Amino acid sequence: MAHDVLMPQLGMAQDAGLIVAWHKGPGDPVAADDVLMEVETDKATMEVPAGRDGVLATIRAAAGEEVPVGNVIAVIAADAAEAERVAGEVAAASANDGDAPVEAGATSASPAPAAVDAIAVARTEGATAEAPRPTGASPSGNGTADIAAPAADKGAGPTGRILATPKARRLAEARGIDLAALVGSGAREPILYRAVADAPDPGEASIAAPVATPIAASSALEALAERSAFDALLAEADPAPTRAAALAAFLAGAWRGSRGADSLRIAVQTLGAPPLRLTDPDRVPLSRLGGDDAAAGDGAPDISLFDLTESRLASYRPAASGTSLTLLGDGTAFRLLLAFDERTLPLSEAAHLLDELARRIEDPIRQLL
Amino acid sequence: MRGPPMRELTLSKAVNEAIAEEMRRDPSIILMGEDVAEAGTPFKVLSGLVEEFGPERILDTPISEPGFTGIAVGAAMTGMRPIVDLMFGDFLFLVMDQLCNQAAKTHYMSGGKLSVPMVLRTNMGATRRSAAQHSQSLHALVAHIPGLKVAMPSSAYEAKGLLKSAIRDADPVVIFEDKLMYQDKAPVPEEEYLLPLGKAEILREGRDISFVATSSMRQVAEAAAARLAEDGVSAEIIDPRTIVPLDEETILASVRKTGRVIVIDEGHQSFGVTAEIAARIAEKAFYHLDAPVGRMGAMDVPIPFSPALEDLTVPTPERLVERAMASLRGEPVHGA
Repeated sequence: MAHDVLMPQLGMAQDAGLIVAWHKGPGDPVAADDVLMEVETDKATMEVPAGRDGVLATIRAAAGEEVPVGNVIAVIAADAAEAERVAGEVAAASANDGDAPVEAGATSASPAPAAVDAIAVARTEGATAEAPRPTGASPSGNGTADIAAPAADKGAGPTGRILATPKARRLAEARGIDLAALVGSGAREPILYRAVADAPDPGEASIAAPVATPIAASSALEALAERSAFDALLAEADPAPTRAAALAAFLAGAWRGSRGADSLRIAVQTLGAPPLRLTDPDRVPLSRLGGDDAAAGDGAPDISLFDLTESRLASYRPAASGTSLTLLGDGTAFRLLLAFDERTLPLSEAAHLLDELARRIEDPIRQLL
Repeated sequence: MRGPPMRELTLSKAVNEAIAEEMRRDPSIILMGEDVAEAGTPFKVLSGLVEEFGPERILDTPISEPGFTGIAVGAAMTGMRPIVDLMFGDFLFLVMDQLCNQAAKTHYMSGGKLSVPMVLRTNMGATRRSAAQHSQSLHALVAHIPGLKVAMPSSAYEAKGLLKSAIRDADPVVIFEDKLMYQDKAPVPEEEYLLPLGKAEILREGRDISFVATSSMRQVAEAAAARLAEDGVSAEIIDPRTIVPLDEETILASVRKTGRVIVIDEGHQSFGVTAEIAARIAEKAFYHLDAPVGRMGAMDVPIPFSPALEDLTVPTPERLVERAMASLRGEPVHGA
């Protein structure tokens, strides 16, 4: 087994030593009593023996270098084969991080003078011992202590197993909910009880079988739109309209841009606010959307808009026929779900509409022009 | 605790009252230890007892923990009900043979012919700047030995009620008082009461996460729960009161309700009380868990003398809030 040679402490107050000369080189066999090197302290120069029999595998501090007490300055291997291997590892390590071999060992072997180090050691051990390894992903190599690791967003991982808490799994089984489908519809892993409890019954909603959705009477399209530009635009408007009203304006704009229309009525629903009817919201400045200018027309809406962003809801499929747009998503992107009837809104037009809306959200200048 | 008239008592005074009441009731009770009579212990817990009961029943012993603990075991076997005062919990290491080989096993090894109705009162708890040999919380050590009961009062109320039950118990009971709580006050009924060994108490009802907190960790849990409440998180707090016997049912029922739990105890985390309780929860309420069982114990280092370092080694409300929030967010939880 390879043995680290540390810079010895040769005097009471000495904290570093200057290597004057090496008496052995890498590959040389050494006996415990052989002089390995000469070290100069502020008081004297001393010959330091190897301390054990073996083969000098690598030297990590050249003659002329001053090295803190306790740092690794050389490695003595049991035999030539091990010496070769150790030397190879050192070379590989230094090639990887661009550090000289002397740097590689510099931090690992500093002496532990006080309780601070004891604490650091204990914490590191604690963190390593407890690190959960649910996905088979390797635990963080540094073992940074005392920090809760972020949730494994990527999920399934190499094993393909979905991360869900026992309680969530139990409920999913009882309700016949497929966890994979839940993940497919955007649920974060590990899946918690709440996510399963909030999921609609598998018989009634697309969530349990997203692949099967097209079978339903109404068709569905989904788009993603990055939202930062849209959010910035909203923040600039004074007074700021509600996000749902602004989205209605964009939707109306996209509709008019892709299909043309004289007058557009949009029914808007959000969580925790009364439903809203807007007529031609795209023809009103954003800052006036809250006023009467775009308020209520009578008659059936041309399209319904459901803003469910920033809720924990993962999906919605309207039971009623007609055209509806549901917004889901997180702080960075909207998921736009367009449900429509191909008899009244052909697929090509629906696709065009949704694509145009997503483009407008990502690049609001398309709306403002 | 509704109904009976209450007054505020320090934990120290509550212990004193429990012993005095029991000694008045039962003449076979004696109390022995270092500096218990004239000095009334370094924490002044026993002040005044020698005046009432005399030096025949309140015995100042030489500085020989194994000696007087052995005497107590023998006295208990032969009809007395000794209360042994071990000045610091750290001195448990000195009495391990008397306690674990003799007191704990006598009833079993005598085929039930002998019993050892003694109480060993001692203390625990760090952050008193008493350094590594006077700050340990060693209750897990004795909880590991079958035949010993272990009580951990979390306030003056528990201290009095549990100690009176311990004194009346037919078997050896070790009772750990947190030395930082001796001056803490809590409402204590005017009239006599007993608290059963082996019955946990729900100190605070909640629905989102359970804290199982022993001894002074109750205060940590209560402070954390108050802060979490400001964020709309409702934490339930369970005080096991005794870790042997452990009221598993109350703990498991709470976990089944909330789905999340953090166990907080001031003993070293590794191989300790938090590990035992966490393991039982994982075994018996696994399918109700919505997050990994969390543990917070003292860091696995000798308690540092440096105040700044010592404070880092024990669970705090801040760290508990952090851990609770991580658990609620569904993050895997690491670290001590």
